[in-house]
Amino acid sequence: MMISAVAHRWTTVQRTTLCWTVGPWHLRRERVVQRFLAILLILAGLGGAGYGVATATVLRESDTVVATATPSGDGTMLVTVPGVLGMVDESVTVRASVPEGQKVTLAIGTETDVLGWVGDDPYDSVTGMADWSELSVVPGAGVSEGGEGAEEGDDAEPAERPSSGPDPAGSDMWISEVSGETSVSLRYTDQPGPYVLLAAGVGRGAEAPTVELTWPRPVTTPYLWPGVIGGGFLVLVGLFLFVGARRKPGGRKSKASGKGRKSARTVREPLEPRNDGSHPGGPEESPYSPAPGEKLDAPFPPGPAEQSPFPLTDEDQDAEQSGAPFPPATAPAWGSAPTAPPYEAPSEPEHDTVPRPAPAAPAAPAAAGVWGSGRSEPTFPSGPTEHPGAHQAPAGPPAPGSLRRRRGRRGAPDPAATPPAAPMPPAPMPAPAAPAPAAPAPAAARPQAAASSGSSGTPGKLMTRRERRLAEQAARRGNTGMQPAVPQQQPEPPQPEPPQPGPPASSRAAAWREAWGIKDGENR
Amino acid sequence: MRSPRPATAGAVAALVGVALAGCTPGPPVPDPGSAAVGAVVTEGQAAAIIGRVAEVVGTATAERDPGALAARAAGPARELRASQLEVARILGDDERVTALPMDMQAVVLPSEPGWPRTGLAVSTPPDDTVAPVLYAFEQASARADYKLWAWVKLLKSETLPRFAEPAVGAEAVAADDGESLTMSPAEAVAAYADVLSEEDDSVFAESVEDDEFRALLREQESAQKKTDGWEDSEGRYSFSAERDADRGVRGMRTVDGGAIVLGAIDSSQVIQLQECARVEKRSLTDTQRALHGDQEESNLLRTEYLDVVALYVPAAGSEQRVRLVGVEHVAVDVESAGDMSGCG
Repeated sequence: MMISAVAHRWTTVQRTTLCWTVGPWHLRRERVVQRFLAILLILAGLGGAGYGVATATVLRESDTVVATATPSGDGTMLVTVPGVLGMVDESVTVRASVPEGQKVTLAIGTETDVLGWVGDDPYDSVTGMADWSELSVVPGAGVSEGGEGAEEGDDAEPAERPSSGPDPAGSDMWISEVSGETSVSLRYTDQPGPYVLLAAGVGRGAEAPTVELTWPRPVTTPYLWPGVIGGGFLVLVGLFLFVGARRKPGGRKSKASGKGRKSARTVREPLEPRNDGSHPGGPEESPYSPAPGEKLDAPFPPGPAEQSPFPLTDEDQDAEQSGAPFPPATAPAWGSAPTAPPYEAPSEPEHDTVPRPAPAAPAAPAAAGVWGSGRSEPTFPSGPTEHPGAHQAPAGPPAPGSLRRRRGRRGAPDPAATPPAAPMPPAPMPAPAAPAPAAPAPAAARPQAAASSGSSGTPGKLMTRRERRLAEQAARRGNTGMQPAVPQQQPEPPQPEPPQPGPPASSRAAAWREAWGIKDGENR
Repeated sequence: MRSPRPATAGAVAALVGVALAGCTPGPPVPDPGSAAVGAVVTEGQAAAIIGRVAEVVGTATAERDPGALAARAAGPARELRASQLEVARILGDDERVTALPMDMQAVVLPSEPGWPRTGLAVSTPPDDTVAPVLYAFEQASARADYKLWAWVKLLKSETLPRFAEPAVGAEAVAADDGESLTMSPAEAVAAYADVLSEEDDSVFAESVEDDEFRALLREQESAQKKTDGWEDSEGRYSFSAERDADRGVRGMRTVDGGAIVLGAIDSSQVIQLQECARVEKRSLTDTQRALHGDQEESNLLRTEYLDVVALYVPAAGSEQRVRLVGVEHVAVDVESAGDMSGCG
């Protein structure tokens, strides 16, 4: 959560630095805060990771728990309550020690048996753990179980003298026992049942032994990886922030110096300034130096060049993705159509009618070239203008041939003037032109209508994928305030017009074809 | 732009705090587990106990050392065995010493936590000709060891009633518990002794089933009466039995609510002839001869027996009768008590 909060703040900081036109003093203060945050994060990250590592090393808990019971001094025996032996782990090592030279016995049996054995003698009861190293010891309550039976037994041990500790060793009731001098130890694995430990100092002058219980403990390091990973993440975020704080001023400087390194960014960034028609230039332009640069280039091909970047960035990607050959070809139609072409088209074909129908094929590459170079080589402007024309020109005269050829691949049915063909790519405009002569006018008119309606943004069934995508892009741009939305849509209405000149163009084309002796489909 | 600092610091502090708080859990608390239910002696413990008893008894038998029995034998068992070992020592032969195999086919373990604790066990007979032995073990007090308290040879025709599983353990039946049984264990032993003495004249004749042992005693009596010169020497034979109250009885509950009761009976067989007649030593059994020792033959021979009987006492309300399931009948003393002073 903390991280997300920081990230949020960071983005806020960035946004504000981006959007505000602030003086150097403000900038420096923000930078300081950002750096401070970054350092704080890095330190916290290092601390977290360090702590994680420490829990698995220096701070790692001991893998045994050792707890000691010190007798209260009353009696010669010490008894645990059920559950104490298996308190930490089912495997326990018991060590009992008495003053040098005395005898000590350890025995494990059920609580009933042990307390029965202890009988009325005073003893200490180990009731649990006072802390991780101390067992809590309280004087045990006397138990007189089996007292009567003792007299009946043939050789029941005689009552001990107070100063002499009875020896539990050898009883049939113990499931485990050990006796020895001074110090003995016993390993025991806990079993189901109320098994308890009896530790007894034995003999004259005996005293209760000091008992030490040792359990193995599985030591886990739950904070190791969370600490290391979380700490590492914090460090990364901090580093990122730190680098960001350092680089931002640097970036500004470079922009100020007019160096636009990343075209992709620079292409996009101008959008904002362009959107706000209010600041056409001045100090603000400097951050977006590339944009101005572009604009500088743009002047020659004012319309198309300017639009080209956008279709390029978006459509190119699309085109590449779809891998279709025609998008580039059609792109020009969109790209070039907007400004003059639509209106020039009709007229231009007339000039270019003769030029070359064949170029229709090269037209695509040419167009691509235009787009490819559009940015870097503004010298082409003449090209673009010409090509769109050329492109449309064939639509007129050579349309039958060139268009056929193109559509033939994807829309052979086209000539049949089937509606589905109409929704086809932007090419539709010229397309109807071809069928127009042969087919009834309505057929041509309908596709046109469809095309126009489709392109006008109504996502009708007749829209092609590309159209829809473009429309969506347009809509999105409209929403985001990005530019091309408007210009792209505008060109469409004009486009329906070219078809109108189409018929004459087609007839002209027919004439042209006749003149050249070209028949339908010969171009294929 | 100020806020990030305290917020971040706070978050870091919280993170560290949580981390530190997580690593110091309190010490564990002992879990006493569920209270123990069932036998207070496990089968493993029982096997160990029986092994220790077998070792001591076996050693004492091998060495014919009655004194060595004290560590692991008590009650009627210790007395019986001591007598047998004495006889064996005199005869120089262990043939009359009851074999006590301690390879058990079943054990019945005590279920009550108090003392004394009693358990039963049945040996696996080596072959069909040998009767299984039913043992009773007892731990008189918490600080005492388990000891062999009694044993009986199971009757050939007898099948022991079912006891609870060893893990569950069987309840001990008090000697005077006459409410849950057709008669209390002490009464049952006394009744059986009375039947031994009085046979059909006993008031308990209807309450106790006839059995092999009684048949055997009757056989002995009739055989004695058929000996040569019995009539001529005005021989009189008597057999009396009495519950040995000092040694007590031990009973354990069976699944059907009844009990298997073991008790000691002192019985004596008296053979009396006319004055100056002699009960010849050579006509006695080996055991009697051994116990007779170098006493002078006389016209009165009293043989004291110590009998240990195992009785099945049905649950109260049952239509069954008390019956003998096992017995050990051992002569422990022979006295030639006739006055031969007036005889030449």
